[in-house]
Amino acid sequence: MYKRNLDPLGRVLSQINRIFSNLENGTNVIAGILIFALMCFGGIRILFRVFKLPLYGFIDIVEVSMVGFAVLSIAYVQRLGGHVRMELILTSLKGRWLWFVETLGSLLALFIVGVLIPSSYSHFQRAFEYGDSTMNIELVTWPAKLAVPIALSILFGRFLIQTVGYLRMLFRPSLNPIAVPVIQTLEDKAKSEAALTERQIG
Amino acid sequence: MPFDDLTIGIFGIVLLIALVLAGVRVFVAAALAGFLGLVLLRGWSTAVGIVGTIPHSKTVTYALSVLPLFILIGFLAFHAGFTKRLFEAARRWVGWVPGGLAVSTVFASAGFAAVSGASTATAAVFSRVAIPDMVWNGYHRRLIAGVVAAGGTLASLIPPSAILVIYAIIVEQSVGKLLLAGLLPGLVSVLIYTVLIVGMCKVKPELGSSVSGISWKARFQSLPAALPVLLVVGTIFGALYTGYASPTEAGALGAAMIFLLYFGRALIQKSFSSFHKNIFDALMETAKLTVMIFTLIWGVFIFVRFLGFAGLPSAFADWVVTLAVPPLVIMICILLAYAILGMFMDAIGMLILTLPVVFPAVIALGYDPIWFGVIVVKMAEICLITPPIGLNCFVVAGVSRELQTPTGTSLAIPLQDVFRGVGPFFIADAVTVAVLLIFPDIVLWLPNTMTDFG
Repeated sequence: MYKRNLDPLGRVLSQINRIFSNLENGTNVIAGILIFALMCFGGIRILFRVFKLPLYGFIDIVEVSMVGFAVLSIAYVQRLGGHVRMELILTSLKGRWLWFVETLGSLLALFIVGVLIPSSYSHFQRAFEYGDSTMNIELVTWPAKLAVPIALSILFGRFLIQTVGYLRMLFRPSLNPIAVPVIQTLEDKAKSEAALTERQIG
Repeated sequence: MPFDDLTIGIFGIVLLIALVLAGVRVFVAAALAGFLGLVLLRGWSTAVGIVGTIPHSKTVTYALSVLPLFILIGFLAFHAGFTKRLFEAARRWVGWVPGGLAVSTVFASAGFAAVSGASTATAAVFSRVAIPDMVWNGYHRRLIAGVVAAGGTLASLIPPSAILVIYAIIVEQSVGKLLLAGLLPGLVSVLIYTVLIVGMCKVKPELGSSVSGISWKARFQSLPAALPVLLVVGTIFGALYTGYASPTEAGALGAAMIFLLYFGRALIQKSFSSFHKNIFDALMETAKLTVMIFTLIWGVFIFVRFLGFAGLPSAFADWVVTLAVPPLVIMICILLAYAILGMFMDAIGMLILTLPVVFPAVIALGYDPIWFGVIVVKMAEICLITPPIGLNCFVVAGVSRELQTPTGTSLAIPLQDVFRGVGPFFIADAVTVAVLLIFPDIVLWLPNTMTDFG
């Protein structure tokens, strides 16, 4: 709704944010589909057991595929500000101080995610080179291990966007925040919870 | 090395606390503090080598795959639409006691909690379902607010409970046993709430009346509405107890059953467009919550690895054991610390952050790991109804603001009244914890008699 009066940096940031959001949404859709598949697969496994039919490799398949909902959409949650944190002090900060602390937090995140990407990539590389596989049906594990540095790279991109977003606010606090999660008050959280249930009852 | 390992461990904890207080995301704070600590202890390249394996190895384990399924059950439970009918069934069966509608709210919340497992969601749902009815019948607003907010907290003990699974993973205990262990304490909570409401309404009848004139026929007619809930809970519970299925399989079956129930409802009501949308939304929300929890787990495990290298958890456990105070006093201090911490922090974050240090000490004191899990989760739940961030209270106040009588009178209950209203329930919860402390068998009896899947 602020798009018309955006500063040049805000406009670029908002565009990059939009493109990146599509990628993140995609990862979350994959995660959702995998969870649905797990539900069906688990149900089928029990049906097979009821009829005493063999179904090999359930645990192996679950373990290899679950990286898709365990790690892949990590950046999606960061965009929405969903990763747990304590906002007790942040909520009492206003203006430049708030943006300063947020920028700092974002830079620290960039550092540690930056360390984790090559480190988790070599974890994948080892599995790839030595042909690591699961116990029962010998599925290769490297695709699951590769998903980690990929997810972390997307997260790195998200933190980069947010750092720029926070820096923009730090230098010009009067602007409207773009591409950064805005802190929800407890009333807001209660409201969104209420809105969620409104559709189902009545 | 200028500092010994233990001092570096303590530095690490101080750094972690400082980062968390500054509002850094907990997974970032834990991973960063853990990584820097490992660098100090073992050097840069070893530290880099260690941390890179953890996001994969600590999340991609079969035992954890139950989490999204339980979360999904919760989101689907909203849509399957049995909340109103559950409340109606509870009203017909237990409404005759003093404060009958409030007691019905507790029973229906427990029933819904059994499938949803989400505290704030349960409070939000029953704010809508039960508040208008109780206001219409002249119940005192503080009692109304208290019972709805506190009723929501039943969700985390009665299986399936996501938070008990998280506890099981962090402290490496059997998921199945912990899930079963929550059932009886959950029912004890229901009982103590009921006694409290009946007692309060007996002493002060103006707080809330009973429902009269319900025939046995009407009671039995309301039962089919509660059947789906019983079916789902019974299936999950039975599968776990008999060892017929692993928690993941039981969770998948439970989720599939609720999905089919909702599908059937959409078929009857011909509401397919909203069915598609709601299923999609439920899956997106489930995925979001799932990755949030998994991220927290691996982030904190990086920190835990560092603590292990520093030898801090074992040193803390050794120190606690040598204290010249009875274990019970130490346990009460730990519980009080949780009560205070929970006032400022999200329950899952609090548990994942503290357990790596607290748990070994508790075990060294001779307490049972399954029992402690149930106690600590109950503590985390109590924090949902204590000021200043008791989210359930905010939810009840928030939802009630939107409610109106048919004549347009507002049913809003101010936040301070909600907090005052939950006061007696807070005391009831303290009594529950005391009962579980004195009679640990309430927690341990079921898990000790089950057949563990392995």
